[in-house]
Amino acid sequence: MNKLIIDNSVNIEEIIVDSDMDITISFNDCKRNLNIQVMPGVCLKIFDISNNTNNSIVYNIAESCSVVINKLSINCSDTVDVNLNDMNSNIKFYSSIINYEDNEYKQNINHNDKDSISKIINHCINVYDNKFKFIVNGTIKKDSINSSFKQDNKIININNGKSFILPNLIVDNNDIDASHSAYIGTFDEDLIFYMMTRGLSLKECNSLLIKSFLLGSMDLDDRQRDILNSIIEKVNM
Amino acid sequence: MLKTENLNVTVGDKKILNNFNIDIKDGEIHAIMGPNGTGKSTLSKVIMGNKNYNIESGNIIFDGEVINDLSTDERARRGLFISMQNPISIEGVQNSEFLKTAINARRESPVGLYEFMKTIKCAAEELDMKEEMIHRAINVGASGGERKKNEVLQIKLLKPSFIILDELDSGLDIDSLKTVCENINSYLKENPSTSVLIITHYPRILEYIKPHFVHMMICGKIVKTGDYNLAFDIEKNGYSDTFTISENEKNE
Repeated sequence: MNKLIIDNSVNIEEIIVDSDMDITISFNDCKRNLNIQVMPGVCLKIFDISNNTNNSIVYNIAESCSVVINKLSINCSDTVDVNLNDMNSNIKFYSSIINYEDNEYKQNINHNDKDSISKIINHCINVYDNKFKFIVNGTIKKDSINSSFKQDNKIININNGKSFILPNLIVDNNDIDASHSAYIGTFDEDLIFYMMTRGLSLKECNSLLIKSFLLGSMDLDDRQRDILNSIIEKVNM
Repeated sequence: MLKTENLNVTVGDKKILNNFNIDIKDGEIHAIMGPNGTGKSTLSKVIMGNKNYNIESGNIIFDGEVINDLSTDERARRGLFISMQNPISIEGVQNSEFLKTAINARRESPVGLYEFMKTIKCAAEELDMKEEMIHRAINVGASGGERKKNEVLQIKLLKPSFIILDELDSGLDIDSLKTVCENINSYLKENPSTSVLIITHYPRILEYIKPHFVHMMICGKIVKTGDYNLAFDIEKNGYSDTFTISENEKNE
């Protein structure tokens, strides 16, 4: 499989992916626009680590593509558009966010053709007493018969952060499968108690729960998991 | 080992433990039986320092130290352990990683990976647990029996000196109960000063782990104490009759 690495040093605004590919995206302290065109039948895996960014990324996905995105964002206000433009296009999008300041993450998922599938999991740890907002719009157009849209949004407030989730789902076809969920709160007290009865301090419990919350759903290989684990461990929570 | 002195505990406005007294010495096995809602599980959670319960008065003393103000993790690191009635599942937290963190919380230097894996695999084998359970998220997708075995696996690795078994027998079939109890008995044989508090509704578990004392608990306090045979009296006569017979005997 082809591999591509995009970071701050690469001055690029459009990528056309016409064969199976692994792309690693690593942006820091920047505001960038990136348009990724995925050509028919391609399998694409994106491993995205963003730190303090205000990026706009657009994915245009063609017929019979399979796209998996694992994105860890630290203190970002990114906007992501996913256009499932043709039949049988399929995306699994796992976004995990560690947030320190007032930020919002906008995501627009557009089902533009039939038999398209999206599975969206957005998890955020809001660390301080700041604001964080998920704005997630799902649109299923009239022609998108037999499409499936599943969306799960969760924000865990570690302190007294003000968090919002705005999940919008606009459906213009009766023969589709769609669901969305939203949770804002803290970790379950019973989980913490159970772990503490085994001798783990509150900090150790939170550390394990944060890692599992942010990485548990992602589709990662061992190397990627180790990278993300070490990033999360370094973040002071 | 563990003693409670006139322990009064409330949840909100409701009094759950009412001048509760028990004295469990090193190496002793005590069993508490009582009807539903009498405060048995509350007692176990209070001993472990669950913040949802308020100690209005009285003390919990462990190894001569009043532990009322210690946090749950501090109590656990001093040697207290509870095997939960309904062990919860924790999505995404791997059993082995969790146990390694728990072991390291008790040590000055971290346990070696080889030593840890060898110990956990051996303990799992003794419990007839599938090896994949070690690497799975804690209790996710596990049956009631597998969850209880996982609790005993934790006992074998964390080596507590005081163990609370809260309805260990619920969710276990006869064979699994036997396996689990054999493992606890062999742990007690290897660690003879370890004390156990068994909370149960049925005497069946007491046939495998023989208690030195059986207490009957009603309305947040112990109303009768006896030996192993008290459990069978309770099973035969029920709680109210056993208590009434006992009161009548006292009056006569």
